Amino acid sequence: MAVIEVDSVSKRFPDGTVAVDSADFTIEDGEFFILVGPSGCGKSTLLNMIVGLEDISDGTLKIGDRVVNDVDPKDRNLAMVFQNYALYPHLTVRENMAFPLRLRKVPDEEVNRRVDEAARILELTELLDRKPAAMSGGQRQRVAMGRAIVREPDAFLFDEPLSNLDAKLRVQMRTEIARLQNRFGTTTVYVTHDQVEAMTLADRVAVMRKGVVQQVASPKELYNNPVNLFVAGFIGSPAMNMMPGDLQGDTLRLPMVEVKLPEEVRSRLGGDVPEKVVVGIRPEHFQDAALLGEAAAHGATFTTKVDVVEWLGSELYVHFQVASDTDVAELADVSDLGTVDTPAAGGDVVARIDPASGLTKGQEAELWLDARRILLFDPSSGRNLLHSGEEE
Amino acid sequence: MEERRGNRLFWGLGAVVVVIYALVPVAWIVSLSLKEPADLTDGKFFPRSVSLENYRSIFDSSQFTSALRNSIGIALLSTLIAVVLAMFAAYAIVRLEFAGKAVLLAGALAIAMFPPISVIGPLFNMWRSLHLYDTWPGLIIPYMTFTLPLAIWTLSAFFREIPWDLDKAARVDGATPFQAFRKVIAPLAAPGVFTSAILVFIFAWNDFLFAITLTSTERARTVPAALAFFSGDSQFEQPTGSIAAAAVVVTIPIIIMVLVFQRRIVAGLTSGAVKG
Repeated sequence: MAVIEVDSVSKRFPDGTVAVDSADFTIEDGEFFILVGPSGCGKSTLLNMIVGLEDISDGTLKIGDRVVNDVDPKDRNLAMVFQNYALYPHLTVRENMAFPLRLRKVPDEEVNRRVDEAARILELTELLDRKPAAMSGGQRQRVAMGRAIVREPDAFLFDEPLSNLDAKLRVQMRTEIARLQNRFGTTTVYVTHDQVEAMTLADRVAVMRKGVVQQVASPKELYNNPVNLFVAGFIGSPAMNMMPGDLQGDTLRLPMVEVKLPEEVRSRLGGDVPEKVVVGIRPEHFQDAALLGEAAAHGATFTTKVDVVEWLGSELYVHFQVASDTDVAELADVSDLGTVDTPAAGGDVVARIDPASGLTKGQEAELWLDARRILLFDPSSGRNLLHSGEEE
Repeated sequence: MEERRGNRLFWGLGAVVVVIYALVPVAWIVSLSLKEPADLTDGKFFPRSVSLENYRSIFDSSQFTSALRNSIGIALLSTLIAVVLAMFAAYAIVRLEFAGKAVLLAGALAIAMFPPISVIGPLFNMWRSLHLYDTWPGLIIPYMTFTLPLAIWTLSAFFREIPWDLDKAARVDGATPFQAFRKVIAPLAAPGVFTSAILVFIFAWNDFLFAITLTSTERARTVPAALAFFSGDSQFEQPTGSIAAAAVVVTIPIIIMVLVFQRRIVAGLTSGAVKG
């Protein structure tokens, strides 16, 4: 059990690249904390610095009350689950799980008790005498977690633990990790590039990009009140739609329609607002105008040609094109968002509407967008112009 | 069906020919070693009467027994030291980033390709002034030097196959770097260790050049060199029988070692190639 304090921690490699640029946050005791970002954003490096496998170039790292910058990994009392599980192939499951305890010279009886207990929790009892080679991916994953649990460490660290599993197993193990973390209440730091994992598991998430922590907040806060264009585009699936917009007074001119910004939105806009902005609209903030009724007053209605319809039973995605003379990619830096869901490439917009709607492919449809939920970004800095400082 | 039988016959015959070709000299030596001194030159493949006289005589002479002792000791020590050093070196080469890594590896290979005969003269003089001449270390050092490169190359191929995450996992699990190496990495590289050990052992065991040049007495002379100094009972008698018996005796340890480690070696020689 421990608080992990990351205080302006940086990592510079000898060749000059800055992998992590003064990361600054505190992971509370018992919190499930996730580091998320596209590959190469420095999240794994940061995790390795916390566990001690990478040196810290700058800043202070505290676990509990102890500054651990120069503490050897073996003395940090953290347990780590690796992406490829890193089970010792020459040892059986039992020996694998007992390995950290044996190194600590824990008495045999205690070792057996803890290993049996962990095996019971993880349903590994029957597999204790097997070697890792004779096990499936999901089982190996559980052994790796068992090896972490028996330690009774100050914190669990996970490095992309689910990325080697197939989709179905991934969902299953995700639930299992959440349940284990609940059960033990141990501080957990978890690295992933998958924002869905981050959203579903985390108490709080740190979104990283190019070595810089963009925002540290709860999943809900990240989704509703992203600090900048990157966070907005990275979090959410399907990704937020982005399009260029002209802001004149309280009128926002979008490629497909002109929207009058409601008072509640305008009041949050600061003083110096650029004329050209990037507009972010989440897919669910569109609706089939025919299904609306009263609510229509808060937004704008427009007509468009339905390009593609994806019907998933509980959800209906409608794709349509917007024509504009400027591309979002020319206005703002959205480059590394491409590693996740591509946001509105080439003017393609996704709307998530009520499946009760009868919209079909090729049809001229009347759609409505919710003006209260529009996000506006400064194209040069990517800053969310509507970001409110305090959490909701 | 017909074709398959023909095929099998072809390969079977081929195998028999190769085995005979390879084993006839060995069989000849065995036969010689079992002959009575008087029959040695009778030119017959099968001894007229089998006698162990030759074996008895070589084990009676301290010349052979001390050579055997030297051979075993020197070969085992060379193997041990070379393999341990090679493990550390290979591990460092694989895991650490340091300047001149490529040069080091190329240098090691260059040493392996260096013909021993070209250093033997200077070595003889150096060893005499360093008082290493005619001592065990005097042979162990060159054996080690000439086998280390091969051992390093073999072992680094093995270490490269071991995921680095295993070291890291062991470190996080509470192991010191050396514990991680000893408890996780070394056991996983065992086939590689056995492979290089047997290569080093065979080199040291079979070497004649260094042994004949750098020794002068029973203190350090190994069997291959000692064989050259065997003499008959009288100056008119060739020591053929004794040499044959000694040759048979020195072959036995190698055969045993290869048989014992055969499976591990085969696993070792191939497992580095394909990720299992």
